[in-house]
Amino acid sequence: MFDLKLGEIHNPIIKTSDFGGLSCEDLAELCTDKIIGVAENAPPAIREQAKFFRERVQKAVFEYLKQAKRAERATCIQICAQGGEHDAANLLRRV
Amino acid sequence: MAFTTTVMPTSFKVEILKAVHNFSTGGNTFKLALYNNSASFTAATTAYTTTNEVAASGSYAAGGGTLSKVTPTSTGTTAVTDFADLSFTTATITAFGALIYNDTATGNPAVAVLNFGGAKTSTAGTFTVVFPAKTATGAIIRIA
Repeated sequence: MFDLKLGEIHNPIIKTSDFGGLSCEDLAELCTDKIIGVAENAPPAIREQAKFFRERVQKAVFEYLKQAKRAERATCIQICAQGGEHDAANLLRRV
Repeated sequence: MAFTTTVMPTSFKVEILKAVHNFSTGGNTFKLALYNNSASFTAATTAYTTTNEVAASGSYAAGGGTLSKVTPTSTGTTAVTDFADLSFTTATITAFGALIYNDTATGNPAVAVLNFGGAKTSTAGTFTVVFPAKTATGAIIRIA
């Protein structure tokens, strides 16, 4: 006899935003969740180290996401300016 | 009625034994559709329906979004498969749950019913469904 068992489905996490995309904080958290998982049944010392490492990674991802946002915005500003869309370029500069 | 459960439809379990679903890259196309709180999916749900689906908004269109599959693998003795997170942008949506279904197979058979645990709302923003990590205990679809 073979007993194949389909695992119970876990509820998904839903992230939403209003009047724009997700924040860098949200994206950094989602990214870190994909990279590092900390088992709740791991030995306490290892769990603490893993959680500390996770926080460090999340901070690093957050900083680089902010830089990526600025870099992309700068590129958009240049595209607008070079296309003669100076009002749009100025609008983006104020974001 | 209301969204009350996260469940794998019984019909999906049968269809696995009939080789209806192919989760491999290049296999079937799977979609995720969002629903309002009038939807009443259970383990007896068998297929995608337009009834009580949220209205099209932003990048959300009728039928929902196409999921990017992660090819099935094994972790220890457990077989797992996963989907990449799915985002709908510039969307005004209030959803209480979702249905994953096979858009390739005849009749759009249901794969999973997902309960969000309450209303989730985006207003002219991003609505993202984040799937659990692809582990032996967390992946969205696991066979132990």
